[in-house]
Amino acid sequence: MALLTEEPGITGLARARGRSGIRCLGALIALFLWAVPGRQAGAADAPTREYLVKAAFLFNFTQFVEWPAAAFPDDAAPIRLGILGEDPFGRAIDDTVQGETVRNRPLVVVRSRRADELKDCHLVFVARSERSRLDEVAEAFDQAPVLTVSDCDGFTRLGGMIGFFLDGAKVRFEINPSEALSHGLKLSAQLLSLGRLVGPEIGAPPR
Amino acid sequence: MSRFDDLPLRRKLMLVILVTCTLVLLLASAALAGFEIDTFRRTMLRESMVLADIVGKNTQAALTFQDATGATSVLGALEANPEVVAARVHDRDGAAFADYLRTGPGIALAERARSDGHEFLDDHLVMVRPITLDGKRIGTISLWMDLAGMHERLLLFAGIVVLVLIGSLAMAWVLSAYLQRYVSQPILSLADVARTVAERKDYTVRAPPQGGNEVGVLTDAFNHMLTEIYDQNQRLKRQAEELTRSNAELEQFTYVSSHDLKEPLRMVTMYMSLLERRYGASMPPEAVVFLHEATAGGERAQQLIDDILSYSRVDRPGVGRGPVALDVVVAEALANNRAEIDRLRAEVVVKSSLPVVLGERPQLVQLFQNLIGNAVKFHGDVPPRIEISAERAGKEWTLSVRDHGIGIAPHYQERIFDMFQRLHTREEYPGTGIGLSICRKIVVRHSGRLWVESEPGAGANFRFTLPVVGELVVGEPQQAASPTDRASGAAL
Repeated sequence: MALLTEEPGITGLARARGRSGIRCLGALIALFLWAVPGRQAGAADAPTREYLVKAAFLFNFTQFVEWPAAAFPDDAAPIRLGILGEDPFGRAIDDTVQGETVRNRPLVVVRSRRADELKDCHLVFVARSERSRLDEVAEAFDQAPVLTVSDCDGFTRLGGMIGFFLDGAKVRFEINPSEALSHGLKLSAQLLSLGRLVGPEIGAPPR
Repeated sequence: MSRFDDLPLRRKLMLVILVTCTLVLLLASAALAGFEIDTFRRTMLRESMVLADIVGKNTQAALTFQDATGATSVLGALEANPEVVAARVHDRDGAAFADYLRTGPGIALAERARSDGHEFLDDHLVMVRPITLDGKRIGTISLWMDLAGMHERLLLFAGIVVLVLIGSLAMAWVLSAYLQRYVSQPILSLADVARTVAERKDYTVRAPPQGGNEVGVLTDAFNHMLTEIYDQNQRLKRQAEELTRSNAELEQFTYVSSHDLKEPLRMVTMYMSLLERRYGASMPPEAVVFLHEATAGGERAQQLIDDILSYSRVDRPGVGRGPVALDVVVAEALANNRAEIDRLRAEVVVKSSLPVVLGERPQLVQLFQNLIGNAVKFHGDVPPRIEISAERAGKEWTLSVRDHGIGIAPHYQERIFDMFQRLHTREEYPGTGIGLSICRKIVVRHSGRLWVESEPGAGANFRFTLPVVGELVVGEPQQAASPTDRASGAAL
């Protein structure tokens, strides 16, 4: 019974934020990546090991984010992953989502250099090539239920929601939950507990 | 079982009650214990399953993002439940991913994920549940639950059962000791009355009436039986008194009438012989023959009356019983038959020493006298030879008076003991036909039997039994053995 209070929820969220600092130290890299350490020395087109992990994380995010119902035209509509700017993944992102479904929705990868072309996406990865135009990107998706992810430094402080960073060799991420909330996205408490939280304090529990 | 049968009624009742109570309690306790164990296991299973599912769900993100630290942190929440001693999350491929251990090592956590389900080990319950995300399996969670709580509870339960058992038995003992009276008391009081009746032969006692149950029926039947016995006893007593009185009257009548008949009869014979002596010479010879016949008839009538008198005297109160030495009796009987024995040159042999018996001496003398007299009388062509002997068989003496005379045909061997029964004409063998009746009456009065073993022409063996007397009486043979002191012998 005592355990129920530990379930992610109102108190779970508050607690997770308090512990996130300790937790950052223990992050591990996906095991399947350990098994293929030579990949980063491969062809120029092949993504680095770092981007293989990031591709997997992008897919994982879709499992712990809840979009508003209005974000999908119907029940079978796919979840659209947009890649803004110079694609660092290559085929890795396509391979990752190939044949996968999340809540019965297939996943589709869309690439573009223009933010307004990706407005009907549900998750947009902003590549490093766009790091000088992050303000515009944030503005482009203002109010839209789009989860914005990037590995540009300071992304979450400039209106982005999830930002990758490297903790030694490990890929970690920081989250700006209030930004996601303002776009009508619900991030799972479990997800919040794994990331480093940034942004203004959340006074009221996210609904 | 026979030991149980011998137990007093109230013990038996209490034993039955206590054994029943114990068995019922043990059975109920066993059922309760079984139910308790089952309930505990079910509860534990359900709780551990819920727990595993909740914790497993909370490790979804950590598993997905391969964040073992996050998973360990989630498992750490299990600390709140003291029954969980260990937990381990395995990833999608079954490799160990994150652990929780309440107290140091000691539990062999499975390196590879076990198959889903649960298993009760000696001290632990292992619960294995899948972790799924979006309908896909992403890992496995295993919980080790401590069963010490269950063992403690079972121990407590056993203790309570023992206490309840002891308490209940004590209560059952007290209650049954008190309540068994309602069942056993009526039967015991009835048994008391029955014992009183048996010991005191007092048939006027009555068992106090009981209720309408089986004991009541038994009591009523018992009382009814007592009444019946009492009435029958009274009736028998009355009849016996009547019989005794009428018998006595009859004997008195026989005795008196016989006695009174003797007097006129004696006068007839006396004057008859006087007539013959005085006037016999002047009478015609034919008249003298008539006179002889008349005198002989009178004497026979006199003999008959004497025999009837002695027959009736057997039953009259005589000198009383005492130890009687039979060799003295036989000597006296021989002396009384001396004239006849000498006349026929009979030989009488006492073949064995004769015992001392309890009886009336004059009657026993008469018994031997009659038997010896018969043996002498019914001799054949040779001079009579008579053998007297005694042998002991258990508690009886069997005495024999054997002759080698004419013998008795088998179909007469019982009739000869009837009154007035004669097998021969007066001319062949004189007698009244009463002697053997007297003999039988005497033997019967002395608690014996009299019979004859004989073949026609091969002699007769008259045999009779007399009870063996106790040691005390046999210890004074010298008084009874004195043949000269008749008075003192008879007084015994």
